[in-house]
Amino acid sequence: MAIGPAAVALTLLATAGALAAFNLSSALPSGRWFEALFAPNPDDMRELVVHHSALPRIGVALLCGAGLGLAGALLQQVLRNPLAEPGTLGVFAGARFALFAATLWAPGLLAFGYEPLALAGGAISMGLVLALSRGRAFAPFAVVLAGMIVSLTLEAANKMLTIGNFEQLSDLLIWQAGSLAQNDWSAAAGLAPRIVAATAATALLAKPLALLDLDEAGARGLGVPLAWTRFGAVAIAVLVSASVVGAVGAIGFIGLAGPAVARAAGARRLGPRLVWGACVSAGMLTLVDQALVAATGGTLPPTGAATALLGGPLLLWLVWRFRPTGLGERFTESAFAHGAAAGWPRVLLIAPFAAAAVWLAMALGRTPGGWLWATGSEFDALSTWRGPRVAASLAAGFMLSVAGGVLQRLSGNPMASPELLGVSAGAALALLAATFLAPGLGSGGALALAALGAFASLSVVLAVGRRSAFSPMRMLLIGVGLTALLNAVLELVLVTGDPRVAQILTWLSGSTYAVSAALASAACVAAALAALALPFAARWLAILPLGDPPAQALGVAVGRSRLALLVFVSTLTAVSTLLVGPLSFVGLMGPHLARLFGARTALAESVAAGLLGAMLMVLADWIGRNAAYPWQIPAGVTATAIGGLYFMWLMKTRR
Amino acid sequence: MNAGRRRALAFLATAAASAAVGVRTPAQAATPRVVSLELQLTEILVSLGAPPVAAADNPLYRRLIGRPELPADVLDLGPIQQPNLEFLQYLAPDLMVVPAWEANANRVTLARLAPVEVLGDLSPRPPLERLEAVARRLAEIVGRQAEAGVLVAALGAACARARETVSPQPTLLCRFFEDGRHLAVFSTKSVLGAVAERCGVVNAWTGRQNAFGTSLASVETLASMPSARIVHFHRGPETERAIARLERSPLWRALPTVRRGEVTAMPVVHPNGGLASAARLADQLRTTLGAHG
Repeated sequence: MAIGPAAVALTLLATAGALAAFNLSSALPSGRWFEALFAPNPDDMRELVVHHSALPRIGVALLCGAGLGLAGALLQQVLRNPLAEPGTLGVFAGARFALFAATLWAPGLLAFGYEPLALAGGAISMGLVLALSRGRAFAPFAVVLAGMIVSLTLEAANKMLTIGNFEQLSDLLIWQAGSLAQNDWSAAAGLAPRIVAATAATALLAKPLALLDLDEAGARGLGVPLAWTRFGAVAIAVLVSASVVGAVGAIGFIGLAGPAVARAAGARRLGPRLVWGACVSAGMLTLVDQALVAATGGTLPPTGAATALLGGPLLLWLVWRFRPTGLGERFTESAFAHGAAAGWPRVLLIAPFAAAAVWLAMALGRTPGGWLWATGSEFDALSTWRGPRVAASLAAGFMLSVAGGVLQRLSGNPMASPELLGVSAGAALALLAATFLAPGLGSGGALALAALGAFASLSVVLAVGRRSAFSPMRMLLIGVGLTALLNAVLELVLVTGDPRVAQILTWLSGSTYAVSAALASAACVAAALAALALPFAARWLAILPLGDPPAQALGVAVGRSRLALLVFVSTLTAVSTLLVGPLSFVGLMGPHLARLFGARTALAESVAAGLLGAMLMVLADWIGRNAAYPWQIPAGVTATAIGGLYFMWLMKTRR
Repeated sequence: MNAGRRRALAFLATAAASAAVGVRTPAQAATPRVVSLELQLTEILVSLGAPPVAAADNPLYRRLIGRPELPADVLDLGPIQQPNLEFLQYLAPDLMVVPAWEANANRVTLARLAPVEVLGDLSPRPPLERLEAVARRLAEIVGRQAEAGVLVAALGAACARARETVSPQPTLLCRFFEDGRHLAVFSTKSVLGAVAERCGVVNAWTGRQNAFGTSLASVETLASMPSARIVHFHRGPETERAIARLERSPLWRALPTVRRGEVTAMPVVHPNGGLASAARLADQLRTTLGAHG
């Protein structure tokens, strides 16, 4: 059974080596490899290609794999979670944002190459993540949560930039998909010393880091400066992964896979996990890359996109095997008050404000002649276009927010939401597949598929949740994984240059532009049905968190009611994903604001959350339609930006 | 708010007035107020001398196509994928033109605003043939058939002139990506490739190409075409950076093509432009490759 991490790593490396040798031999007879490596004949093109392209590619794959593996192992140790990787801390999103922004506004900076910018972007977004989680002594859950919020906010900004400047950023698309093609040794030569330095620094930190395996009190008792050890390890991980990103682009899941496989193969202690984790990652990346070279020549699909795709099943496997360790972070403050007073008067006060927002969104807007408050026949003429968009935002905001509230109560986790748990990503993946694999599908079929996708991902999330006693972090990390998978698929599609891409991109960023009147009214009907179902859902939500036996004693069929809630949330998420795409933060924000507003019981909270979410989405859509008129920013993007900033502020001000 | 409405009404009044003026001017008697929802169609309309009243993504036109210059009074409708519908409603054009490959679900929505005409088709016809058909149809719409004839003839003449001087050496038409590791190759199914072919330039790329006739290659693929020369499109600073990075690569410097000094830059031509862009490419091929021939 115990094959040992060394055996796994060496087998992987050997297989990768054999495949590389096979590829090399088709480029050059093996007798001349030695010459090609050390003294290529300047007149022999084949030797030159091997020397300057094939061999550095192998070197870069090994180095990048090792670097990402090291970073992953460090992060997994610090965050005490076998599912963490550099992407979790917003490194990839930050690097991408820095490059996009530089390309558009300060192209002069690109003269020094991608690396410094990617490093700066990755480091800044890490800095932001750490600053946000500093108040909680870099506690794992706080770090993951901050990482996810920073990532999603930056990715929303990236999408916004890509939509407006698709042509200008097209060069970066191939970079961000992680191509390992090389034409000299510079990338390898640049990476090698950094990875060596990171390894040395890790060796210095290894001892205090290993003590993190103990519980916090134990580690502190042994005199480990917890905060600084964590900070140092995270800094190493981010610097290494940002270097890799700068050199070859975002390569997903490799940093996750190596250490996880090493652990599964029996690397119990930190030392072996670091060493063999890095080796497994190096072997894996090289193997995938060489397989692509053998199969397709190695340009398309880019290696990073391929590893990210392969990582999906791996993630699910890891999630399934994962044993709860009892380290799941709990919220100390009680987020869900169960007071006697529901807070209805204040909740009902929201309704007129929501109505006012709808009126504003319908009447006020920019026209070719300037700002205009439309009335009478002009209002009617404009409402042909504004009506469906406002209605769709209203319905989507309501449903997302209600779904978020249900998820938060169901999992006892105030940071749960369809976006963060990957439920929206599941729906979006299903819709994306439908666009390409079943193009003739009507909107009814698409909706059914989206609901199925949402249901599947939600089932996984909750199944895992139950195994880990609904540890908020485990559940969040599945969301991270599913969102990363969605991005990987998207990158792959982007790089192939399919003309349907631009359309998908606008939908994914949550534009209500293409919503038809029929779809909008269907969405409103769905939202109304959801509102009618709320009293039933609320009863279960009030009882289920008490635990199974008390719930049964109160006459609730636990299994059936939980399943009903699952289907409820999946359907709501699917419909709203179809309307406004997979991202928005509204499902997270609505319930929060509802509690701030003083909603106490499950029902009052759901109603308040739904109203607030609807209002938020309508306003986000209105801002998006007018801010850059006649250009339009998708509602999902504005909502994510608003929500992201709100939560960063929340994390900063409230401990 | 009243000021805003007055401005909107004033805007509409001027738009209507210019249409009315159009009726009175004999030369423009029948010119409909056309809106173009794609760069290629915008370019053709501008070069026919009948610019659209509004077009999608004017900043992109000015960046990628440039000439013929887009008149300043052509209104911007926002992105190609999402032209602003409310704006279009105020504009009330006579006709909106969209290319076949962009025509999608939006078409039904657009048709509620004004008549929509889908130009071109998705059949695998030779790209230039398709382009000429699109230009002739547009000319018919705006009543400028003679000008379309001139454009088609100009492209033919430019290609013929180029054919006389350009050597038939296999040529790789491409654009270098900023990372200095990849390039976009324009093969025979692209408009650029088709123009080059008509100019007597043999396309060196024999690999796969997508529906638009482009493909992605990395620098080491160039090693497999030692006899080809390279013509690349210079997009400005980003191409400068690409070249700077390429020149640091020993593999690039060792390529037979590079050693022979057969790498030629030419001003950027939009890969999916109209007849004027195509003729410009033919002229550029003649002046830059003719000398080598």
